Amino acid sequence: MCTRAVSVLANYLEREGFVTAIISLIKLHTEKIGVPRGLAVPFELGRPYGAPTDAEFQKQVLKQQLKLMESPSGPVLADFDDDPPDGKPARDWACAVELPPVFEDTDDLAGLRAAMNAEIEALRPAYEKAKARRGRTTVGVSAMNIEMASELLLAFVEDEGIRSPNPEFPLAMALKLASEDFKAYYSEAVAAEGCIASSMQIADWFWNETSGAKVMAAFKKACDEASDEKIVDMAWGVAPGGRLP
Amino acid sequence: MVRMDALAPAMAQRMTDLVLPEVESGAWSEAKPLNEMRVAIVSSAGLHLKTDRPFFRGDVDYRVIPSDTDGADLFMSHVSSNYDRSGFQEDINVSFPIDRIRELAEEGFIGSIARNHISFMGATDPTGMEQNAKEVAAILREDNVDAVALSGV
Repeated sequence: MCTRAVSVLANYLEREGFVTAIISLIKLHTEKIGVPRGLAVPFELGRPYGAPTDAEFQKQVLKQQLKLMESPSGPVLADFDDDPPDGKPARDWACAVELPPVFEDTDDLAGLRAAMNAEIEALRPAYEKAKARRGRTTVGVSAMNIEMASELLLAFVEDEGIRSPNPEFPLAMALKLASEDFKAYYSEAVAAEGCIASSMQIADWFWNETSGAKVMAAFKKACDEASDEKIVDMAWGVAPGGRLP
Repeated sequence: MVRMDALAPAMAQRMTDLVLPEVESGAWSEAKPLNEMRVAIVSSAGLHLKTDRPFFRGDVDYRVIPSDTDGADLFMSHVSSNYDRSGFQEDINVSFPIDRIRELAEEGFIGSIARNHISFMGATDPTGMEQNAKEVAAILREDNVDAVALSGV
């Protein structure tokens, strides 16, 4: 977990003569490991500086973190008490893109593939709009486009003996990166108009209301049952805890 | 900290039960005034340039992120799915505050920012990172860095 890694890295770097201060997302871990200087924050995992697009709030967190470096003695583990601005998530948020009904039968791969491709097409204008608004996209870490990445997931479900499309990546790694691109395509698409949905609303939408989640379910099941131990080992990380069996 | 009641029950239990490494934690380096220190960011968020090899499970190595990196050239390949990525998708600064630290240097709050920043990928046994942390220290020392702001996801 990142939350323990930052604490350990702080100790290693302090030992090398640097003045360190960490953001602690799980205070329990930081307390147990011990760090020279830490700022425990009440933000969700993934957001150590609190709120996207709120530069003043981010700066407030960073300044408090840096100020710990001037503590005359330590160790010191302080609390950052402010909640992040909520970004005004709409309480009844719904995805603005109308998607076809969720395709439930994960054993019918031809049907699942058609449903997946239809969703990718339906979301494309929104995805492109979000990409233009942000001036960037996080889709592409697999070095495949969305069509190739999504197809790789189902190709693996059909035949675990497929080869990695990238000779530099073992198949387990190529599959993991493709699955991240697949999920990122969806979550970027629903932010076309800005951050009006909370992270939980976006996750609930993807996992409960898309055929994409069914693709991930079929993919995760195939990974769990794979003969390649690296793929079995990787499978725990393809979905957040509790979202898939 | 993250409110445990805001996490899914299985995740909260996992956080509580996680085996934590034992490391010697008594080191203490004396700081200069903030406005005289050169500061680097070290992240465990699995960040890297688009041109770098992504991280994968078990990796204990690191990637170098030059200070003038455009946000559009930054990817995240952390192996865990148990944290929010939509914040990073909207704004890299929510997990890698490169623009904010640049502003603090321009305002004179800190002395200067390092030429390079560093990212590890935190979802692995961090004690395996010790040797790589020494390499990172050499990189930062060569750039006259005094202080390091760390964070993860």
